[in-house]
Parts: sequence; C-alpha cells; structure tokens
Amino acid sequence: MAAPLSDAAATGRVEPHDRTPLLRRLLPSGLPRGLPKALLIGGTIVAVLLLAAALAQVIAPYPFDQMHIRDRFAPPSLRYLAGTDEYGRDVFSRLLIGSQLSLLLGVVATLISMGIGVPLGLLAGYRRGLTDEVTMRVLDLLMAFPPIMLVLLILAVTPPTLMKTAFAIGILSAPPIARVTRSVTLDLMSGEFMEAARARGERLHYVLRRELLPNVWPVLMVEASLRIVFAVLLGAVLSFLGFGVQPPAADWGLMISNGRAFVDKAPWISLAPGIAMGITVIGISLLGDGLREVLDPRPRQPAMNDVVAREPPLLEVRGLTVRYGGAAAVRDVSFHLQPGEALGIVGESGSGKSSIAGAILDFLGPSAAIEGAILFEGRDVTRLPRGERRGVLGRRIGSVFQDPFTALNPALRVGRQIAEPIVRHLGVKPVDAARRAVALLQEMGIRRADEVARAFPHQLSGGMKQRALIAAALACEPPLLILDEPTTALDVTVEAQILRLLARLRAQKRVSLLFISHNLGVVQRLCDRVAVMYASQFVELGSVHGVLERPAHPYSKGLLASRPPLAAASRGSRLPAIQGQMPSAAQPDAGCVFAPRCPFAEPRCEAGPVAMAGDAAQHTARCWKADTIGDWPRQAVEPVFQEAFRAGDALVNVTHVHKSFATRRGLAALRLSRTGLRYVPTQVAAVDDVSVTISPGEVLGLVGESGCGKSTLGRVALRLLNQSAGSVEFDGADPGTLSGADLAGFRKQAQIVFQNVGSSLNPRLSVGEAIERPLVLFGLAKPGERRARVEDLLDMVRLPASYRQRYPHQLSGGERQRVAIARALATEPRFIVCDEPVSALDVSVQATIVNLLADLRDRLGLAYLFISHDLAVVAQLSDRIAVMFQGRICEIGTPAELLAAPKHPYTRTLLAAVAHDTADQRADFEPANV
Amino acid sequence: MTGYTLRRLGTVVLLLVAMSLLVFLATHALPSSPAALILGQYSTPETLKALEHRLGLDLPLPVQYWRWASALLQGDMGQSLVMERPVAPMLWDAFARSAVLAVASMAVVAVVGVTMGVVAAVWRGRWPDHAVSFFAYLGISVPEFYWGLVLILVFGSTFHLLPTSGAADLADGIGTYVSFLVLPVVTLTLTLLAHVSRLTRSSMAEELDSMYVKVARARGLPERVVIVRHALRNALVPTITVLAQDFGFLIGGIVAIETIFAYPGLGRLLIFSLQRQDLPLMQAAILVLTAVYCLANLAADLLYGVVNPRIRYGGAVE
Repeated sequence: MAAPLSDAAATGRVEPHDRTPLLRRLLPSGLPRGLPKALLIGGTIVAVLLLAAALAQVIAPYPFDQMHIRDRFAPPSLRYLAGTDEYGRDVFSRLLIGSQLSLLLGVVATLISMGIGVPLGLLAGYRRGLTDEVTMRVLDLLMAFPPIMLVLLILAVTPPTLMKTAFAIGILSAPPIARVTRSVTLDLMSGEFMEAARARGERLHYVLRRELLPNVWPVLMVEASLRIVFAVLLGAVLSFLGFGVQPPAADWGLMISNGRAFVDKAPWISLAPGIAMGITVIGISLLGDGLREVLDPRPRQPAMNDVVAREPPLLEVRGLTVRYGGAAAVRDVSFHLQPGEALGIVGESGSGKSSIAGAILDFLGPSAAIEGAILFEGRDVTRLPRGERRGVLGRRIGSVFQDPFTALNPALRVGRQIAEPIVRHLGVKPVDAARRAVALLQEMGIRRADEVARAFPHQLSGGMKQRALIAAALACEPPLLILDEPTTALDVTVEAQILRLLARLRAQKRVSLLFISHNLGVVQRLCDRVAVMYASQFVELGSVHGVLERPAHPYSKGLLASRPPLAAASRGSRLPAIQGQMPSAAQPDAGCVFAPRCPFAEPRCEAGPVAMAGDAAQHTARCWKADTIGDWPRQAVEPVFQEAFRAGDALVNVTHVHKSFATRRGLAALRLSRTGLRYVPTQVAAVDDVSVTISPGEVLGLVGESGCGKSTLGRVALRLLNQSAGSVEFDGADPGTLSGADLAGFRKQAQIVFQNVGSSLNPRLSVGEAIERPLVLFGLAKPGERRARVEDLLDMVRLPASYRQRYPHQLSGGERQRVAIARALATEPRFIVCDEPVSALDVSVQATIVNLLADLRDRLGLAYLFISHDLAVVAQLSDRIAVMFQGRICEIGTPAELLAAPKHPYTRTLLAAVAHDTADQRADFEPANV
Repeated sequence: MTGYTLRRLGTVVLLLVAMSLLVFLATHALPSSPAALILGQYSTPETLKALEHRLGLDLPLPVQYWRWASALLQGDMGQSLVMERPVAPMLWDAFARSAVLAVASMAVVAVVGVTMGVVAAVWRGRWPDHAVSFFAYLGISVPEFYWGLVLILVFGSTFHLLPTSGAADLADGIGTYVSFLVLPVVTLTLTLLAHVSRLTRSSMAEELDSMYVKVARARGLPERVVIVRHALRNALVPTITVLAQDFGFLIGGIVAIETIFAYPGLGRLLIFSLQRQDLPLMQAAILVLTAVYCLANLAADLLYGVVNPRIRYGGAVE
C-alpha cells in the first residue's frame, strides 16, 4: 500500500534531476521555522498505522479467523490484547487485518477521486468560459445529491466489493476535489507569471507541468487528507449498514457492527475498532492540518505602533520602542504634536511608520512588546485599562487607514457605521445619530448624502468610501486624527480631492493630524512638520519646508533626489538613486544604520550609535556630519545617442482598436421578458477606438488612472487579448494571423514586464530556472552555454551571478523586478510592454529600476510601451506620452509639449493633481464618480 | 432579489428532474426485476412475462419513466412490493418521524456549534479554543453510529437512564416522546457540532483579523459590540452555507442512526427497501430525501442572499 504522502508527491511530478530537497519545494516562501506539532504527531501516527497495516500478517498474534471456542467473549488481557469476539477470535488480530481494508479503501477512493477531479478542475480553471461553465454545472448536479444516496444507489445495483465501494466513494469525492483544483487554478491564472508564460507562447503541457501543478499540488495534498478521512468514515458506515465489506472478511465498520449485539456483555468487540478508527482519523486529520499550516502560511499581520501628548502637547511620544520577538519595528522614537498641528511621518515600506500608529491605536497584538510612553491629553494611554483606552479611541482620537475597500464592514449600511461611535460615545439617540451621519457626509462634500448613508459599502466608489471613513473618524469631533496612508489606494485625481478635504477640515475644525505616508509630495501638501523614518528610527525631524528644501540627513537627501521631477528628461539623464536596500533588522548600536548605503560615509559613522543633533525646536537629524555634507551626488549623465527612430517606420501599429468585455454572461445573462427567455450579455468597452504607433527604439509612455484601459491596450498589443475590432500590426504583420514558427518569432520579439512583483515570478521556480526557460523555449543557447547566458542576463540587470539559485521569496521587490526584466530580455526582444513596472516599489527603488530601463533602452535599442499612472515617472523615460481616459487616448505628444501646454482638460486635471509644488491648484475638471 | 430567487427555483426544478431520471435509471439496472420479486418461488418464464406485461415493465424505458413520473406528481408513489401496501402513507409517517430528528438536531447544531466557534475564535490560542478543538477532533474521528453505540452502552445498558430503541407517539405523553429522541439527536449532533464549530471558528477568526474590525475598535466601540454586531454578522455568511451542506451529512447520519436506534423513520425504510430490493419504495424514499436536500440548499442560498447585501442590493450609488 502506498503512503498518501508519496502518492501526492507523485502527482507533483518532482523532476528527477531536481536536487532541491522535496520538503523545500513543498514549502512556499515564508516557511515558519520548525515544523508544526500537528504535522509531527499526525505524521508519526500515520506512519505507525501504515507500518502496522503493511505488516499485519506478520505482527498479528493469531490468524484473524482462528476461533478459540473456549475463550469466547474473553475480556482484554495479555493473551488477547483487545479481547475476543463471539467466536473466540482475537479482536486485536482482526483489527490489524481490518486496518488493511479500511486504509486501502480510503487511499483507493481518494486516488480515484483525484484521478477524476484534478484533470477536470485544471481544465475548467485553465480553459474558463464555456468549458468551465459546463463542468461546474455537472459537478453541481453531482453535489446536489445527498452523499450517501449516491453511494447506496451504486452499491444497491450490484453486490458490493471493496473496489466498487472505493469507486462509489471516489466519484462522490471528485466534485470537491475538482472545485478546489479549479479555484486554485483560476487564482494562479490571474498571476502575472502565467501571463508571462503566455507572452512567451508556452505550450499547454509545459504550463500545466511546470507553472501550475507545482503550485496546485500542496493544496491538493491537504484536500486529499480530508478525503481519505471521509472515505474511511463513509466506508465504515457502509459496512455497518451491510453495503460494504462482506463477512468473513472484516473491516473496522463491520467489526463495530458485529459487536453491536454483544454491547452489554462484551463491549470491547465494538469499542476496540472504534478506538482504532478514531486514532487513524485523528492522525490523518492532524497531518492534514499540519500540512495546511506549513503549506499555506498566511502573512503575519503587520503590527502597528505609537503616539501621545505644548500648549501642553496634545500628543507626546517618548522613547517609543516596539519589538516583535527580538526585532525592533520602532526604536526609541520621540515626538510631540501640538493642538491643531499636522505632523507627517514619512518612510519606505518596512521602516516601521505604521507601527507608530498601531501603538497609539492599540492595534498591535500581544506579540508586540511596547516600551516608552504615549501621553495623550496628559495621560499615558499605554497604562490605561482596556475599557478606558477604548473610550479614548473614537471619541478623542479618530483614525483613517489606507484601504477604504476593507475598512468598512460589508454587512452594515454606511450611515450606521458613521452613527455607531456617536451613539456609543456621546449617548445620542440612534435616530439623531443617523441624522448627524448624513450631515457629516454632506460636510465631506458628498452630494446625495442621505442616499449614501443608506447604501452598503460595495455600492460606493473608493473615493466615496474614504470620505465616509473620514466622516466616521470625525463623528465625535476628536481633537486628534491619525491618518495612515489614507490616499495610497486611490487614483491621483481622487487623492487630490481627499487632500483638499482634509486641509479644509483641519482649518475648520482645528483638528491635529498625524499623517503617515510614503509619499513626500502628499505630506508636503498637508503638514507643518515632518519626520523621516529609516530602519525603525527617526533620522530627521523638522518643519516641512526645512526638511524638504534643506534636508540634513543623507537619507532624506537621497529620498528627495530620487523623486522623478515632473519635467521632460533627455535620453541621457538618469535619476539619482540610493544604492543597496534598507536593512530589515538594523543594529543602531553598531553605528549609523544608513552608513552602508551613504555616499558620505566614513569609518567614524560606524563607530557607535548616532544621536539626533540640531536645534530640537526647529530641525534635527541623526547624522554627526550633517552640517558639512553637500547635495546628494547626481549620477554622471552620459548621453548615449541611439540611432534616431523615424516616425512612420512603425514597429507596432495599433489602428482603431476596440476591446470590450462581457460583464454578464452565462446563466446570469438570461433575462425573462414578455417574449420569453432571452440571452442578454452586457458589454463594457475597455478600449474605445485607439490608434497609436511605436517606432523601433522609441519609448511611448501611456498614462491614465485605474480602469482607463491602459493595461488592456498593452495586452492587445501583445496579442494576449484579442481586440474586438480594429487592427494590430507588429513589424508589418498582424500577429493575429500568425501561427507556428511565425507566432513564436513574434512572441520572442515582443515581451512584457508587470507591476505586481509578488506574482510576476512563479514562487516555485528559482531565478535561474525562470530566466533559462525562454532560452530553452526559443533555442537561444546550447545547453552548455545556458548558464553563462543566464549570468550575462543577471549582470545586465545588475544582479550578482549567485542569484541564479535563489527563489523569489528570497528577493526584495526591486530585485524581483530585475529578475522579471532579465526574463523578458532573455528572448532578445525588440519591444517590451512595461505595465506599471515601478508602481509597487518605494521611491528609492523606483529610481534604480527607471534608470535600469533607460540604460537597457539605450544599450539594446529597445522600444517600450511604458504604462503608468504616474506622469512624472512616464515623463522621465518617454519619447512621447499618450494620455488615456475612459478607454480613449485624449492627448498624445512629447513630454515637453504635454507638460508645458496640455490641451485636453483631463491632462490638465492630472497635471494639477500631481504637481508637487502647486499644493492647492484648483482643478477645473473632475471625474463624475467622486 | 426576485430575479435571483426565480433563477434559484428554476435550478432546483431542473435538479429534481435530473435526480428523478437518475434514480429511475439506476433502479432499473437492479439485478432482479420487480416481477420476479413478486412471484418469488412461483416464478416461471411464462408467469414472469405475463406479470411484466401487466406491470408495464416491457414498455420502452421513456414510456415507463413518463408513467412513473406523472403518477409521482399526482402523489401516487405506487405499491410496496414487499409490504404490499401503498408507498405514500408509509413514507409520510416515516418522513414525519425523521423530520423531527433532523430539525431537532439542526437546531442544536446551529446554536451550540456557532457559540462554540465564536468562543474558540475570541479566545484564540487559549484554553477555550483548545477545548473546542479537542472536542471537534473527537467528534469527527469516528462515524456517528459509533457514538450511538457508546451512548447506548452508557445511558442504556449501564445506567438504564434512557430508552435505546424505537420511538414513542405523542399520545404516550410528552416526556416519553422526548426521552426516545434524546439519544438519536445527541448522536446526530456530535459529529456535525465538530464541523460547524471548526468552520465558525475559522471564519470568525478571519473577520476578527479584518481591517473593518480594527477600525471599529479604533472608533472605541466596546469589544462585545465589535464581536457580535461587526464580526459575527459577516462570519455567519459562510456558516449558513455549511449548515446546508451538513444537512446532506445529516441525511446520511439519519440512515445509520435510525438503524442503530431502531427508529422507524425514512432512513430505516430506505435501508429496508434496499436490502429487500423493493423498487417503488426505494425510488420514492431516495427521491424524497434528495428533494429535501435540494430544498435545504435552496433555503440556504436564499438566506445567504438575505445576509449578504451584495446580493440583496446590487447596483452602485452614483
């Protein structure tokens, strides 16, 4: 009999040449140290059981059907470990033999169900559309039968045998397995690494074998363990009812059934097999739970942390340190906030800025150890009892968070969520609170406030949700409002509106703001003072004008310099960038945490801890030589002149392209009308009559907000999506008409790089394997040369050759993006669609990637379609910029033209929204939905 | 919501038609024909043929299905071959008895199971959580009939506290009536409790980790309000679907439980018909059980629509 674990391993098709240890490959990124107890205990139980079943004939003290007539109904003793039954047969020996039948049934039934379910699920998830619809309906039908009915029906037709029972149970278990496989597959299909595979023109069997299955089968192993349990239990029920194993053979179910008649006299006959079955099922369940824990690690909730209370200060934070285990997320942070003042905390992801907010708001779970004091209105809130502290929150401190899409309870009406704190804290009657809620929404600039108050969250746009959340935060008129990246999830024009709203509220209500953001421009527009955070510490604190115009700390200088200016750039210009990356567990006792990346560093910097220095009331920085250093060094500008591209000699030619998507189809599109049932699919146009050309070696920037159709256009250009109308040409040929070698030739020449650094690489392929794949697929290097070529490509994106053996989870976001670029370059393309390649990256990392793309453009003569929502980034890299709005190109021109004299009103709105230094420039054009 | 309800209802009708076809065809694949069963030892090729003709068993299958299905729709379920009585009244008596078991068990499972799940999620990682997990593992580790045996052993054979087989009528007094229900209901409940409490715990834990719960706490709402009004409301949505699924398991459980407690319900009738190959009884019993399962799923879907505003209220507010 095969162990379930090795069976599952077989379906995983681990390649023989693959020397990565099996367990490693099983475990995705974020593997917890040490295996879970459930896995160890469950694994041990299962191993012992399997061994016992395999060796049953050897270790059983008696043959299972040997009768000891004189010892009938003998209670358990040393001679008969589990007693004897009505014929004097040894129960223990029968248990051992019975385990073979019960376990065999479980394993065989599960294999049958996987054999049916996995291919169906893969097919439905991979093909989608009609195949999916039909498969799912059939499965629904099968699942609509009460499980036991189906099995009884099959077994009633012919006399039962073990294999038939296994088959019946297997059929029954196939639909859930198919469903799980399908949903995992669908999930993976939306992963960008799958899209990258399609952009290379990979064949189905490679995609299934190398990209899909390695990700699917860990989930399947967990599911399989559940199914074995199900089969063992159902098999027992069937035997009990007389539809399973037939005497004289006996599995556990039949043994329990046989013992029923003697329950009074000899309970061990029934109890012993039940206990055996219990141990088996618990063992397998524990193994399954353990696997789930190991294979499916949920990212730990990031914790958050601190603030407290000069008139006296409203909030004063003293020496705040937040630790998770040994690592400090916040280290010795002190600041104060005056009534009516706005303080910004700026830092890159992982700097610990959100942990400060979490400590003040009591968000940090018990895993966070907090030191220091948070004085709010003179009291240290960290020492308040929980109930009292809760009373401060909401009433005296309001808060707004990054993601308006998850911060509202989906099951409650918006108005009620705003009214709740009013009722709770101010003792207002619910009816009056509801009226207040509507008034608050009006104050937030929402026109049909009563309607919005009655709406559920899913009915509102992101901008409106965030307004509602601000209304709720201000409901009790708290003197302090904590904002943690409140506009990060929103489009730039909506962001500009929310920022204007906050500025107005601040002036009207004299509320203090603690504003946490990664975006210097946003902080600049709203705050009086700003703190710059780096590797858990404040490195600089001062007035917004002081810090942004005369940054003292090298990190602040670097951060400010890496921001692309909103100006046209020449082909030779590069952004100043900070080399290296932020240490995750910095040791400030060992010296300045920024020294390894600092161009001004000298040995003394690493001699010992560095304290904040400067005029404490004005401007301080954690750098001992802050007064002596100059500007952040600009990279040497080396103008590389590519052979000029000529207009009209188009590499990519998109003409009058339309693309629409069905939003309602299948059963949902059936409408009952007076004339009968009609099929009414709903369409929405994502791209509407777009024509653009890209010349060889040209960079066309495509800028627009989420949902404007820019990504769809990029995918149509690569024939990852087929246009609904219009034509697409690449190098004079329509890729839609190509096939075989010609299509492969197109795939080789046109590549894509994605936004989402989390999903653009398959987590189960090493960097070397990912980059090598296009070389193999397109036969670009002989087997012996591949390694050297992979190392060349890594060098091209400035990664060390040793990265070949790393897996995506061992890389930072910027490094992953470099690998994705190397993978696209491996095919030696002429054209790359860059779909928001830097949007998910921090400013300093963004600068290095933008520079890399510019270098590659010049060195290799690449043409890009560079898609982004950020006009400044696009202007940095593009020869021409196209502005897209609601599916159409509304303006196209050189960066200099577009930025200096925008013609279309939407371009003007976009410019106004992102202009860093024109804080309150009024936009004369606003999208209708906010 | 109306369109949604209509579509769901349409699906149920389609399902029932498909089921009746499946049941009809499957039972026709049985090795012995009903005619042979009626004749028993008097069966000769001639008499068999004559009876098959009289019963319409020699007609083409579609015609036979049509006759069977249209009679069924008029409430005529045919004649039991073994008991030689009309199926319908027999079935309804048994159905009523089984329904009492099922409804009582579901009620206990819904209330106790959800409470256990919430307690485990709120005290995650502490002893109430461990207690619930332990109980859950215990509950799912053996088939329900085994718990039935254990309960019989403890409450019947050892302490003689409760009756362990059969059922009473309401006429025998409410106490007697209930005493016969206790052991079967407790047995049915044990396994399902484990399932429901585990699921409620995980969906509740997920909601408690969600952003809106943090926001509710940051607004200073008391923990009780956060748990009951915010988290539980959303956590119940998947629980409702699972309760309906569990109804399927409950039907399976009833078949075994009624056998072990000799409870004269639908499950026992079904096993009887299968053992004796009593075709009309078997067809009717399976179809009734399937219909009940479909309706339970329909009820769950509709309830799901009521608790999930995305389905109840579509459309965006401009």
